Amino acid sequence: MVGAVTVLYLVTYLWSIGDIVVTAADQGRFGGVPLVRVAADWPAKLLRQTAPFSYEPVLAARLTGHLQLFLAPVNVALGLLLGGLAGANLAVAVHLYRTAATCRRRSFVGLLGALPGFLTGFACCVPTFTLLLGAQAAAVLIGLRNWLFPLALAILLAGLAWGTRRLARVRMGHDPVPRDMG
Amino acid sequence: MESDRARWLTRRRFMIAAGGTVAAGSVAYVIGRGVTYSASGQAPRQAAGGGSAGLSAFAANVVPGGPGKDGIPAIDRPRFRVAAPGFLADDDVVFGLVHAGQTRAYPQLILVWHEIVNDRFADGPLSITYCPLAGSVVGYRGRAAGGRPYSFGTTGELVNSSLLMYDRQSGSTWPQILGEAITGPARGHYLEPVPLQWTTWGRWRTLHPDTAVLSADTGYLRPYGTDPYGSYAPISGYYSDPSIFFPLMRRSGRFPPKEVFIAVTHWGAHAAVRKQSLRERGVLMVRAAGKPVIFLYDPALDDGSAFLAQTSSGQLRLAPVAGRPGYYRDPASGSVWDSSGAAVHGPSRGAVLSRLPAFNVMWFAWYAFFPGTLVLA
Repeated sequence: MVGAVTVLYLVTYLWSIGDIVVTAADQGRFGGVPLVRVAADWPAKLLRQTAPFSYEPVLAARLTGHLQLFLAPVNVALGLLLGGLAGANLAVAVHLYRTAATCRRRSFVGLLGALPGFLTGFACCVPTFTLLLGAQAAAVLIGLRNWLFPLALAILLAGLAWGTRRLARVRMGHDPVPRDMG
Repeated sequence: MESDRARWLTRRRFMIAAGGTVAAGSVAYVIGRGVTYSASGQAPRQAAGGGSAGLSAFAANVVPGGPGKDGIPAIDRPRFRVAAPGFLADDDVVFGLVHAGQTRAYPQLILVWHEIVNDRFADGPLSITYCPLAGSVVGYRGRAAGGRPYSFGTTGELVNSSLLMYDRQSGSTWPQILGEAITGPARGHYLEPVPLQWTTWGRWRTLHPDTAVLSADTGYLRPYGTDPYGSYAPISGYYSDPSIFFPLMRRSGRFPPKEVFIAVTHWGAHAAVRKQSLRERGVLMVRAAGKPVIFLYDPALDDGSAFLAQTSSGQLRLAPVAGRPGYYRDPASGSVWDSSGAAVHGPSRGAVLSRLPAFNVMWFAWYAFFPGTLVLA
């Protein structure tokens, strides 16, 4: 499950920052875009930033006329980091749900950390999405752009720490499991 | 049990320490890049007019736009090609230029990802600059102290929700719509603007069948052919929505914010004509800085140009020729002029009007820089 969530998060994250492009119109016509392109001077581009926590793609692939992929290894690594943490948060939350006696508190709070990660991408690179939010919200989002990735990271880690602590308490017997759930 | 508990506590402490380190490191990284957000949105700083105080006001209203410096990379080695069939659709927007014996078209669907092309013509370097948020395109050139020609990059920052460029020779910053440096060694200096035509591929290639076209082989990987802001054909997204993402120093409700104007600065005076009005009337005239400025509509390109309406025989007045769109008659002499400012019939035949560097721009951006602008609508 952690793996599935990680992959799903990664794909959504890459789409939000514009590394995965889905178009309604067939893009095959524009310049006869080759199936695979490598960026000129790609070693120099590997660590070249386009925006905070966002890097230049070094490889582009046109999978179909409507789907293009842009590969920036650092972006993929960052997406995997957040995705892995989101997956771990989910796993801990589900485990807690199954074992905890008290159903009042859920540890899905950690998953809220996933949201700033997506907003990072939208704020930078998908202005049409920010239009949906309205100009005022868009302006705030763009202004916060630099902080969204660290914020996502911090929330996901904090959520994970809190969740594992709760799990440890359940296992130590501090939060007893009722017999009918045993 | 004790060892289990100890292991859990150690692990928890480790995770919190690791998380705290990463988060702190990220925060330090962001601060270390010197990125700040100046909350200038709600309290616009008024410019005191022209001169140094005005430049300082512009500098005080610079805000981050999202991308970092050169995050939107200028094209420094533009390649051109003869367009293959199907490369561009006829209603794709292109920016056309005939200059120093070369005819070139720059597709909007490439420029939206780069904003600046540091190009070169027979008479030297010329940078084509396009701001998607303000819908403005103009060529600029100039020389730094010492004579080196400027080449430009994007700062990633904006003034009045429009492109703020920097030059690589002196590091001075230049708002695209202003054409004047607001910070750095070149502060107060002006660039020389060169006008481009805002038109469509079908119209441009009909008029210039042998035109060269900027190639998508830029060295960078981008989804050329897509536009992250919206679309011009048909017009949608940011280009038609009245929303503006970034703070403006001034706003005017006189026209819809994204209404397209053709605007020109001449001897410190600013004049703008509503493009739709120019389409309907063909000719519009205004006096700017005591000089007669005439705007002529070209139906072949669906764009307008501005000229100094003065000839050797004095000031020119023109009216559209009925039944001949794009041609204009001077009632005084009977001469007929075309929309490129050349006299094609009559006593003035062969004369050419002095062209002024007017450019397409959205109302909100032009007004925010030049609230005292003359307006024809």
